[in-house]
Amino acid sequence: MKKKWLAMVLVGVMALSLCACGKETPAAQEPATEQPAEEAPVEEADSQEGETGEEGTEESYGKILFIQTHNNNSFMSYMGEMFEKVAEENGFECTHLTSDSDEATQLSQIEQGVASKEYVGIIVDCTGEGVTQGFKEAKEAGLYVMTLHEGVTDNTYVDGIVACSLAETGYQHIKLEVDELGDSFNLAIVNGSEGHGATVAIREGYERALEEFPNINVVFDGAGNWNAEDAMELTGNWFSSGTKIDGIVCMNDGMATGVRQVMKDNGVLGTIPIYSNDCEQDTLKAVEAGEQSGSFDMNALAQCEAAINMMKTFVTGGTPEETEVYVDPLLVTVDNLEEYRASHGGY
Amino acid sequence: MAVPLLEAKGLKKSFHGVEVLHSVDLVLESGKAVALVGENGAGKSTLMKILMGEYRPDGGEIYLAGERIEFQNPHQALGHGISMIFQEMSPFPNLTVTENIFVGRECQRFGFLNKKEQKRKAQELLEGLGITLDINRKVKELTVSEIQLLEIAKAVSCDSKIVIMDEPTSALTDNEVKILFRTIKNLKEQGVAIIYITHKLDELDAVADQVCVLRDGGIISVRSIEEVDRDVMISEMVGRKLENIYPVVEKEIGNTALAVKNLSRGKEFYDISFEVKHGEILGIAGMVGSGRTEVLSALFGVYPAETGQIFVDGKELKIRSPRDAIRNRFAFIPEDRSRDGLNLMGSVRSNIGITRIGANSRCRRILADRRAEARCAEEMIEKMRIKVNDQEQQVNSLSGGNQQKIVVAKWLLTEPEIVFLDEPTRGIDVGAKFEIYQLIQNMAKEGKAVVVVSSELPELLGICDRVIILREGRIAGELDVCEASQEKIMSAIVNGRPEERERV
Amino acid sequence: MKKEEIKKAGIKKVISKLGIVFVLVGLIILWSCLSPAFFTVNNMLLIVKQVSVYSILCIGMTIVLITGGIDLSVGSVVALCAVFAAHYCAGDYLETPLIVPIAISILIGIACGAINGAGVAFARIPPFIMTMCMMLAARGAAYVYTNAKAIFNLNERFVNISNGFLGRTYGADGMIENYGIPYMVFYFLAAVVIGVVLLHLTTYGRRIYALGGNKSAARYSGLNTKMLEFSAYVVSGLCSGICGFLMASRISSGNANTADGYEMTVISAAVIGGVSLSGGVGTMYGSMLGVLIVGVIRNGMDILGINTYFQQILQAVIIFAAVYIDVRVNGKKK
Repeated sequence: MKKKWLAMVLVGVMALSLCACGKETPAAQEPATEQPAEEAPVEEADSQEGETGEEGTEESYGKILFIQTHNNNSFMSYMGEMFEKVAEENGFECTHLTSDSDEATQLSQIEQGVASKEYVGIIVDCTGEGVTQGFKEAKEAGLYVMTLHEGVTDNTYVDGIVACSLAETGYQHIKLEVDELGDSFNLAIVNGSEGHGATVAIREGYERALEEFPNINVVFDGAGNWNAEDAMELTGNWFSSGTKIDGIVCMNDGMATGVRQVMKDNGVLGTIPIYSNDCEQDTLKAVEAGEQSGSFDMNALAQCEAAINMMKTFVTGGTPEETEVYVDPLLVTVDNLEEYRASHGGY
Repeated sequence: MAVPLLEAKGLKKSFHGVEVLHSVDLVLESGKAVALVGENGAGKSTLMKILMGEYRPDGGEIYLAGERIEFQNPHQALGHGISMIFQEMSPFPNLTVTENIFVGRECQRFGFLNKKEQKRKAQELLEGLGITLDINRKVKELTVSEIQLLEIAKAVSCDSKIVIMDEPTSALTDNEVKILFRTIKNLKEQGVAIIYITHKLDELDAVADQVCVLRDGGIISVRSIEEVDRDVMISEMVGRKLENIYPVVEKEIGNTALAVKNLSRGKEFYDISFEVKHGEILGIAGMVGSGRTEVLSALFGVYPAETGQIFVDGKELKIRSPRDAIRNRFAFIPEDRSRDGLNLMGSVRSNIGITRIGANSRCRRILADRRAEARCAEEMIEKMRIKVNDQEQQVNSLSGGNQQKIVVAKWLLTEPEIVFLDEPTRGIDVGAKFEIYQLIQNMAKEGKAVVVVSSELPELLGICDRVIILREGRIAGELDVCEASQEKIMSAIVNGRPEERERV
Repeated sequence: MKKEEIKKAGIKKVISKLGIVFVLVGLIILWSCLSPAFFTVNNMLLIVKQVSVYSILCIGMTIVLITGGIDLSVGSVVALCAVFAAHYCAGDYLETPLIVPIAISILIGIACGAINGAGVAFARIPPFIMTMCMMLAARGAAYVYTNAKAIFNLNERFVNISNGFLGRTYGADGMIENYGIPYMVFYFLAAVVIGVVLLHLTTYGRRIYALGGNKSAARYSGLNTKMLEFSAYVVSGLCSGICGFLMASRISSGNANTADGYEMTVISAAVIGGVSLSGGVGTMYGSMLGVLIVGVIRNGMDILGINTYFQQILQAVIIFAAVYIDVRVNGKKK
């Protein structure tokens, strides 16, 4: 029996130590963690324990909840960091959660936020339509509801929308290829996961461009499921079919990484223009080396700033001029690479 | 007297506050065999597990060649030359005989397995012990007895000075037993000391130099084999006098209950025909693999027969599954109770109740009636004197005899008319055996038809009215118990006909 | 003296059985200390609401696990049922009576379970393989059926099945006045009651334990082991069918990627609750407590703003601890 108790205590200790590990994200309130973690962009521990002790030049607008669908790529984690930073600079306290790309999880997180009665508003990067129910709940509890980056179709309970137009990036992908190759060539399209919101949105842009340039011959069109492995398998098969491919568009950088590997294996790297989204480091290097033509940045910083500003307007009782703000995507090519890197320090 | 090979002084052990061994002393000399006898639960297994380092004693000391030792685990005991051959053996079924012998200490050359050397050593070892076994066979293809011999060889190959054998003959036929005894003799000549645990008192003369009786966690007597008086020993074991271990019951034999005609299945048995009457106990003798278990399992519908007819009280039945059999009031106590008879993880109550789940219910058989289950279990526990703490005790923690009683109990609850028992007394102690015999006799007295399969001929002769002998899947003979003798049966088993060699 | 011992042993047994309760209480205390927002009535109700789908799935899973099998297909079958349910209460079918999507969802669940059961019990395909095939097939079918697009704009009343509240009232300004009790809480309670009754109070439950404890002995004792094994998967399929329409209602859409990985969550809940993967051992109470523990871990860590990925680590630690304790305590009895 003793051992059993010991084991149980151990679980508790492990849980505690995990919380301590999780300090990078806000939260830890236990007395043991006194020295603030340097690398943490937002020192939530301080702000929670001693709001009065803050420098306090700015007034506080209260606490907001930011839920991201996931943060397992550098764009999403950069966005998370930027959001926390912008929120703090503007006098918001912010809790930042991620929902593991699961709709039901995100829904639960929204409900928890509502139930805790700590927040004045929630800003959600939506995983799917399902979160609408959570928005209803939040709205009825008197919170301001905004979507950021990814939205939903049913905006009945949404006060404000900030996004970067994904459809626009899709249109631009093909437009840029046309600029380079003329309006009649063989195009291959690497989509994200079928049915995913972003896939649908970018697809809209592709369709628009293909209508405008009817001479483009789409030779391949498949789903790379947002990741390099699947994209590699997919395009590897395409290349081995022997069909000539003149240009490739790809819905994100992760997949583009896989595509470039396949192009390298086939000895065509650098000869076929390829555009994608997200501006991950890997891709930027490829752009620098002339292996990829360009990548679009969803302009995370601009999105976050727009969202926080709108939230501030709501909280202070004002009405924003626009409740739907679309931030322009940022094309990064070899021409503006240095500039972009400088402004996105380190990333 | 020289320093004994092994000496244990005042060993004590308790579990959950119950002392199961009080102050046991044991002395073992090299080249001698000590037989340890006693009822199940007397503390034999616990004592052996202490010697093997599996348990640590609460008190007392162990000396090996005069040196005090304290084993933390069985591995250390092995390192000191003490090995044990368990009742339930644990070899690796997918490895060959050779690989099993050398498992964990393979012959190596330059870090690679040296198969050739290993095989040579294995062959030498087996020859040295007089065991004929193909070293390249997979263990899963071996018979129980061959595995037993393999385990002995394995123990010897570890340079064991002490070999502990826990009921090594329980699954062996007489011939195999002879091989085993020869091996034991060889071992003794090589100076190995043996601790031999057994329930079969007949074996003592052939094996033991000393007999040590254990009862209720204490040593009752230690005698050299010459001084042993069997009746005294039995009464010492059980703590009471057993008049006759085969109870005599007055009973009436009635009409034919079960008639089997021309039953066959594949290569396992052909053309089996026999009859059993109400109140009669029919014995089936034969070696393992002679088809005796297969016939019972066919009659019970576990693996139905391909051809042949089964009549109960003159009516022909089709039995395709155990459910059909049970519906016709058959019961079957299988040979291997842990494999086919019991849910070892389950409670006593759930095991006894398994055949009565539908009956012990309410609301149109939907809800289980816990009270009725408990009543059934209580009734059987009392009636059959099953030793348990409570009904919720795990069956796993009971002794073999009590486990077997539970198997019998669950079948008695179905009030069967025809009862098959396959090796009903395997691995259980004398006291429990007596009780099982009593139960069998009572069933017959109540007019049930009983069929008993057993490897122990005295047992068949002691309780049956009639014995049929199976050999290679065919009936080799039938004897009335009055005219049967062990020799006659044995002769039929070996030669196929009872008449040919009546006296050896 | 003997009675005393029996009493003592009894107490020990109770404690070892209740160990899981202590883990749950311990976690609740831990989270309560770390966040004032945790231990509130609304949040407790929320946890129950969030685990109710798991709890229903866990009934089926517990039964299958006790028979010595495993059902990896539950998440996928939920998704398949969810998209069908969503389809029959949206678009052209918007005004269809609610019983239609519900019945379709349940029937599809049962059908999937029956295929699993037939494969395992009659065709003797190992449960892991059989249900893995179903996992792939059902998920694929869900994608095919929806053309990989989410179905939304469901019937309001259908959405209300999972998202409604009992006794919720609104103030004049349209704000929530009285939080109310989510309907899902009642589904959880119903699941617990039905699960416990089914496994512990019926003859069916007795047979399931007998089967899982020793299949051969169960057959020798006259149980129809094949039908029983078959039925366990059907029950699991039924549970998935029920969860299918509940999930569609909860996320107010039918999406083929719904309930991804739920089988592992449910299996881990059952294991935390003391169910053995080798069959024959485990209780419905335990499984339900396991489900609650999973819910409490997730909720507490979300409230503290801890990353989902850390939640996975903690869940791993707790499963490990639960099984380790079980092995130590129950392993010793032998």
